[in-house]
Amino acid sequence: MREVFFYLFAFLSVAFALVSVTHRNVIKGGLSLLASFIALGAVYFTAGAEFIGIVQVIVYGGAIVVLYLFALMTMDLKSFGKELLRTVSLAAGGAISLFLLFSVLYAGYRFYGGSIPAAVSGAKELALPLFYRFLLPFEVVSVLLLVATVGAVAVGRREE
Amino acid sequence: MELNVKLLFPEFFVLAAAITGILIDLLLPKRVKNGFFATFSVFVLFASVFLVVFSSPFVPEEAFNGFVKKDLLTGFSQILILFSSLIAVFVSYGFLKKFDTDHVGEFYYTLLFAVFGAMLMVSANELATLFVSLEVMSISVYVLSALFKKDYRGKEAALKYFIMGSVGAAVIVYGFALLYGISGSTNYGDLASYISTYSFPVLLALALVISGFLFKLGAVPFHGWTPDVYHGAPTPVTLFMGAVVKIAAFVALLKLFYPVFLPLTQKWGEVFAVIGVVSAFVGALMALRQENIKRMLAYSAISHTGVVLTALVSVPAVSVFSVLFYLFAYAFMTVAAFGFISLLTEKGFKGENLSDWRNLYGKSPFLALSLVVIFMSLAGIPPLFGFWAKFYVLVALVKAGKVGIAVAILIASAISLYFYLRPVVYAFMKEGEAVLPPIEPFEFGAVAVTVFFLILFGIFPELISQASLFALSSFLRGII
Repeated sequence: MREVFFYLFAFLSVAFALVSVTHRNVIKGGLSLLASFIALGAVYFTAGAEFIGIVQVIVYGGAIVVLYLFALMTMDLKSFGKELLRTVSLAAGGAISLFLLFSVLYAGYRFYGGSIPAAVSGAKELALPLFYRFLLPFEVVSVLLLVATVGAVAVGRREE
Repeated sequence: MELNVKLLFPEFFVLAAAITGILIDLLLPKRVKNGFFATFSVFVLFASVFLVVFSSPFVPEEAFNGFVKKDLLTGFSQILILFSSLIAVFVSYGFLKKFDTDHVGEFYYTLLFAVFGAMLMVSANELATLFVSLEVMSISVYVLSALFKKDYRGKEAALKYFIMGSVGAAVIVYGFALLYGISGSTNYGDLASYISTYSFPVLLALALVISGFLFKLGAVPFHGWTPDVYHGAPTPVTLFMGAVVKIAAFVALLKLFYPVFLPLTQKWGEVFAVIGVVSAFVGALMALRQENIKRMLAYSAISHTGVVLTALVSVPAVSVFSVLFYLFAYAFMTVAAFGFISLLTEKGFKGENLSDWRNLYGKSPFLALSLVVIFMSLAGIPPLFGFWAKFYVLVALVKAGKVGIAVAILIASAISLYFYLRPVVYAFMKEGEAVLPPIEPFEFGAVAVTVFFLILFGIFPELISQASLFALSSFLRGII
């Protein structure tokens, strides 16, 4: 059962990733990137790493894609269509992609057949140090964020 | 493994007060804010002085699974931090009356946050706690520098300090990460057992941590930001960063280096000595030509930092003693000097140049005489407090057989006498009109009290040296 979902979500993730780089409309591309990230999060779930899966959905799906979309909306999207693909950038991007593809294939070949450990990154293993052993620095980080937020608002606001 | 939360009661008290300040700030009308928040901060700081006095243990105690360790070294440095912050609040009260800002509430509670960071920093016994508290303090100070209206200089200083300080923090964290990689722990006690021999990672980590601390302290290869930031920041903030940040950084350095890098003491002691001598000279020589007194004091701060750093080459116990004594003297002198400048400042950055102090004696003899006390103490003239600080450092160096370094420090002090005498010459012997804005009573009182202490501790240095000895013995009990 696990394998079925693993391959299903893996396929979805790759398919949406393909859509996101090939679609002519950038906003739709961004949305399919979001779908790809969520599918990737589901892949982590099927592999037994719930915590990384949740973080993947929250951080990438929630924060980073939204940031991308905001950035895209501030740009002039019309002018993008006219730009022709230049050979140099195409070659560079292709070389990097090929390198990544080979490293993924090699890694898959090396580790093929290995079993999945029971708790790869459970939330409990992370929570215990974070909320007990490192309690003090963890709480002081929240003070740090508070100071930084107050400071950013006070310094960034326009003078009356 | 136990939390022992009550050990950190003074820190949490300051933190709770700061957060309460944020809430109160929303409710008050603007015209009462300055008076209310100044009173509030003074009350909080006074109360936490008492809390620190009653909660500092002689036998070191740990809390939060050994993440903080308190002893009398921590206690005394916290009292020094709180005292300097108290003076900073009194000075700020007058300064905020003269200079306009929309952020009166923010100013005071960010100051309290910075005090919290400094207090936690001197009690930290673990790398993550040390770093996080260092950042709480630093970020608060960056914010404080930028809060005044139409103060382009302060904003420039804030940005410069922010960029340089972040680089320094990043360097420290690289060092900490290496230390964690070597030992698998961030606790000072566990780290110490792994760092007994030379190895490349240990030396690299040591170099990075030292560089980061020198960044924060403003010692020579990394001193570039000091003059601009000290000059640009509003004077009460300069007072705060000159005194509190330096105390916190030095005490954190002592508390980190002696337990963790004890086997390598000889090596890093020599590094600090070389850097210290260079800093003492560079600071003294650069200060000679400064017309702006805040800038001059910034170079003098580099020079003083250098003198303190040379003390670290001595025998560990003697070093801790002389560094703590020097910090006491340095904090009082810095607070007095910048409080004095703030007292004389007027709109349009007037009153902080040497030429604005011409014939100050004619206008206000008392102020002119306190100026003599402050600057002669900075120069290290007996019988003032600053003399004994330098004296103990020199004795420590000579006892350790480092006569060459002691002579170098003496020469640098002799050079610095020239620029410390210049304000005195201007105030007493030059013809002209001193800029003398209406004197704020609280600001004036704060300066007068610190000047009184400079004389008192100059005549009775044993008050502070006894306290430093207690702190030293308590600190050593924690290491052995």
